[in-house]
Amino acid sequence: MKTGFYSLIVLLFSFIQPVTAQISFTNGKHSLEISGGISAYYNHRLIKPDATNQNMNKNRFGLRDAQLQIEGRYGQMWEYELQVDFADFASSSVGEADPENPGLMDAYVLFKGLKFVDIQFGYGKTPYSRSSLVPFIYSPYWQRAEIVRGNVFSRRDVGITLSKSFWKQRIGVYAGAYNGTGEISLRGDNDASGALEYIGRVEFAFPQRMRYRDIDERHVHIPLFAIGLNGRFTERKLPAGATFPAYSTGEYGIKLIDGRRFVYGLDAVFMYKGFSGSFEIHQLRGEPRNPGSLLFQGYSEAETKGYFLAGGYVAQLNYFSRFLQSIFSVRYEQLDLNDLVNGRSERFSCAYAFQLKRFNSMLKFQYTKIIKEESIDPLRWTDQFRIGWQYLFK
Amino acid sequence: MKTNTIIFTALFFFGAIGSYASAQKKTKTPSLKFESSVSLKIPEPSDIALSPSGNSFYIVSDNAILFETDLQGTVLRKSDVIKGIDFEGVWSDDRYVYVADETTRKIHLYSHKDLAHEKTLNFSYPGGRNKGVESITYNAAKKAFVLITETDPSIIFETDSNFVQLNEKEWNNSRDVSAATYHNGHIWILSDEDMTVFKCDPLTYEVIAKWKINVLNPEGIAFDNNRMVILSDDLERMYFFSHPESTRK
Repeated sequence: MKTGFYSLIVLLFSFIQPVTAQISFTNGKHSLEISGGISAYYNHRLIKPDATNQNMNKNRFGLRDAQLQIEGRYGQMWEYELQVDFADFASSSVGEADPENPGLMDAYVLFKGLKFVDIQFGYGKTPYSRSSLVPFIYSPYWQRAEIVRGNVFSRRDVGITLSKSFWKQRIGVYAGAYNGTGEISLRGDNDASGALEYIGRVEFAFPQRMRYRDIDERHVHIPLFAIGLNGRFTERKLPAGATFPAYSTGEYGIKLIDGRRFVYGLDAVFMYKGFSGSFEIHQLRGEPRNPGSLLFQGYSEAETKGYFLAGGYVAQLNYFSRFLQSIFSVRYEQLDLNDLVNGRSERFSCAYAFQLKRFNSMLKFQYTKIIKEESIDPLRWTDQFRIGWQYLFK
Repeated sequence: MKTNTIIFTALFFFGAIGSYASAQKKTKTPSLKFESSVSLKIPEPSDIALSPSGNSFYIVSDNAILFETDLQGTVLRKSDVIKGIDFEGVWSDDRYVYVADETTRKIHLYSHKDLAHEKTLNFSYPGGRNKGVESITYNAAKKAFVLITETDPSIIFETDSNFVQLNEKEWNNSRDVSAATYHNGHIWILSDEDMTVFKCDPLTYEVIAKWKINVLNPEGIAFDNNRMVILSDDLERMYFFSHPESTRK
């Protein structure tokens, strides 16, 4: 580990240069800008001494982001965005898409020409979970909390989103319809049920609107808070013999189920004088059509009453020090993948980020400890360290 | 492993608390508190300038509309919507009201008489779409218009009256610049992210004095009589302060 760590430090400091200006073009009506970012890290895991699999393949350098983003605006009514991550593009076109960081991140058009509603059409983040909606470049962490990484519910999908804000943008309302197959939607067809997923979100901020950010960089002197409620529903009825597209059910097999699936959640965030905190909780209720579904863990219909629950929460506290140009953060998360199985997993993480040029050039360190694991999701590691550099050209 | 977790947590908390204490100790910038405020009937107001007569303000909105208000923020009249996108800066002299459109990199000139749109000039800048010219004023000491970009980086451009660039200087005293105005022989710069007002030398732009202000999202600054007026974009309010130098200790 030592050799890798020192190599990374040498590499990082040898390339530190001033951040250059973002490039934009305009003809007076149509304006377009190009930006992007690169981030790379060194990862080290502590494997359980008694694990049968002592594979150390996670001790390695990793390229997390190699992003290019094009954002445009045409007059006052049209906006669009195209964002690609080359680091994940090749792998996600055939294998499992990393839902936290897929190859294609955004490809949508937003129409703001109607007074009563804005319409977004295409592929992008779904309006569910504040943590998921916070752009990752504003986080001191290298990984999102497990429940919002896209393995329990999808973070992006193809579909249509209607939105409207009220009261000086303090209240935001979102509703949309999507394929429901999440990041896998990009491969073309829906699943054999042909059903859609419906998502809604309402958020309220006070005393002013709050952008999707975790860190109080401004050290606001008046406490700010925001709260959000969201839900999503889909009912899939696969024809006999049909199966879901590969990887669409996610790592835990609950992102899509043959039956009814509700997910609902609440999130809250505050900021004050450099301190900030967030709390987010989600519950999934799955009602598989087949009483013999593996998701019932072998229990009879009389015992399960035809449903299972999954869910969890994440709480995070941060402090931003202007003087030290540093972000300190701690995070605790709990996840129960199935209430029919005893136990739940618990993780603790802390992160430190040193800003060379604010978020545009930032060294980030994250430590994660598995406090407890759920029997249906056994892990062979106990601790993970990740250190690296995020550089944005914007 | 429990011990490790506790040590890590403790280190982070102590680090945070220590740096918070250091930051508090280092902060010497005096703070100003507003004396009164009014709600504006202007959506997303982004800059303000005193009219040459001194009897009214010009205020621009993100929605590409120029407003004229009385000195208490009541709207007196407004311009037609033109094909602008994002008005972020306003200044006025005896000839025109000058409005900077951040996204399209254009300067619009309006007449005082009826707020009619009279001319459009270009000021190209290749920086970020929302990091373009955020402030416009006239530096009488250097006989040049001053345009300042918002951030990444904040650059002070001096131009002639046709907005042809004469000089530029990078500004590194704040994390962003949301407005600027010329008043009493000095350039006054407002930073939204730092919530700070800077009084600057008009020849060198060096900071002479600075004050923290207790306004969220401050986007515009102007002076009338002996007051400093600050606009908040998100809250759509106008805040009135005593002149900073009258309260300076």
